[in-house]
Amino acid sequence: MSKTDAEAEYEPGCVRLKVEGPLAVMSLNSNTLQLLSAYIDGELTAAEREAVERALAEDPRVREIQQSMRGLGSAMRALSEAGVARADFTGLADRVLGQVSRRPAVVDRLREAWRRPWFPVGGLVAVAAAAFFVLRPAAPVPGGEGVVVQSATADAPAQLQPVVLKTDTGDAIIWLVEHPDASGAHRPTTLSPDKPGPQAPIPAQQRPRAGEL
Amino acid sequence: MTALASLTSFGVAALLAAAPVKVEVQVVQASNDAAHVDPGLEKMRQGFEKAGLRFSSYRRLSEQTLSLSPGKPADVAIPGKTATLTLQPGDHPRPHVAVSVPPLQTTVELGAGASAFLQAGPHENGQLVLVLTATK
Amino acid sequence: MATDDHSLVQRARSGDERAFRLLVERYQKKVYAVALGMVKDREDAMDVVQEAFVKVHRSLESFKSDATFYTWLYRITVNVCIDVIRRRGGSRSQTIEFDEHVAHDLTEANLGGVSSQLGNNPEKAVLQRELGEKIQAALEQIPEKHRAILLLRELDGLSYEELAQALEIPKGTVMSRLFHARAKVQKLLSESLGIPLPSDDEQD
Repeated sequence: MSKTDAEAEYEPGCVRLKVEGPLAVMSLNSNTLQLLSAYIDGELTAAEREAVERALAEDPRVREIQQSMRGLGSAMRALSEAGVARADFTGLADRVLGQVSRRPAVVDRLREAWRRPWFPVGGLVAVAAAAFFVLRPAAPVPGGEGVVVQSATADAPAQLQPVVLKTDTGDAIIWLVEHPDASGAHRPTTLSPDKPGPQAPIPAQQRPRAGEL
Repeated sequence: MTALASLTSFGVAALLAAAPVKVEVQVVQASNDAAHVDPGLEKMRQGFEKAGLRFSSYRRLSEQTLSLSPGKPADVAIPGKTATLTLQPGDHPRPHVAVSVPPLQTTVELGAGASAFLQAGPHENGQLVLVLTATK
Repeated sequence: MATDDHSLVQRARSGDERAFRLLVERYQKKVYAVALGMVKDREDAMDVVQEAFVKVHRSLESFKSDATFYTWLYRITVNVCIDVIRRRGGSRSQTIEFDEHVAHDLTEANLGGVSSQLGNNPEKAVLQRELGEKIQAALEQIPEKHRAILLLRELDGLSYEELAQALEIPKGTVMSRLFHARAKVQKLLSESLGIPLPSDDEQD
């Protein structure tokens, strides 16, 4: 699908690469290669597409790179199809629905934790969630604004995990919550930020597996 | 011109020498003491409440605007500790800021006008929150 | 009875279990394919699929009908994958972090030479076990965000607009990130396949 230059010009957040130099000979630089990559994806304006097609017609190096890029995609798809063919999805929907009916959402558990009597007196932080995950509004914040949390980790005490909550105005809240112990219980803990916690990190076999939240 | 041997074309040098980014930094204490929300913090209170974090009091302890340059850490004093902000180098449409406020380590991408609220530990019957907002 | 995604979401929201099952069955393979590419391990990938659909079910109320269901689903899937990778402790120590705007040694040979292995007969090439393993190994070495965008584009054909929605990045970032993901994988492939760099004579 091609786009008019005007559409491309005014798309918010879209960085359009300029087609530089005489179109007859397109220099082989990152600009060219980015255009070539987007050409393969059908995401260029008419002017950009024309420039790439000239380069393809005139420069065998560009054709070879195009072939390589297309080939990588084909290889990835074939590899993926082989992997999917080996998988067994029997009972997946049952497992999902069974898990949904068993446990409340992490947010509900957070809210429950805030109602516990020992919060927040005396600096106690008692929370109930278990792992880093993100609640995001389903639609992107208009105009591409808002905060995106790239990463979040917690130093010792190791049983603390960051939880990221997004507001509907695009803000992000990062809160440290207590990771449940092996029995699934959530215990209140006194958070002393300058001192490492006494417990060792939860061994791998005791960490909740995906699906146990 | 050399055949493609590096990506030094397309203004990489200009991209690397990114201009400083201004970030407003507030330290707020949220607690359930007497109900009071400092001016300008009502939006924070509403966002927290919708997220399930209910406090009745939001007090601004400090406020400053930092000019962050890529790769150069800037410290922010918080009761009992120091937070460090570092603008990540690289060509990003929006600033990436690495924040260390122990024990939390995070990197956030700030859209203009939006805020990141980072828990910064307990303080006087409440919780400290480091608030980062990229200025427009 | 309408079975488009939005109709099924509406029905699932009001407790229609069969509607939600249809959504799972419709997307389970696609989600698994992305997860497998991200986490490599088959069991972990199936765990990701299950966890992603659980999160979807729990977040149905917050899904806005003006967004597409599958970009939302992919967003959740990628986040769960990243969580799994980091819980494994594998991401930082194993991936090669690189600054997209530092000069890379993307010579023509690095990019073009792989075509002899990939370009002419990709289906036959990928059946070669060694090449398949090398592709998977190369994917594992690039950062998660590059792996995710490459998988979503190549396996599911998401448009740049859809990629921007799914990954919550500006559309301009999609183009550059996808290019760099491709370039990095191809460079790693050419290195592992032993394709030599061009001599100085080939420079202008």
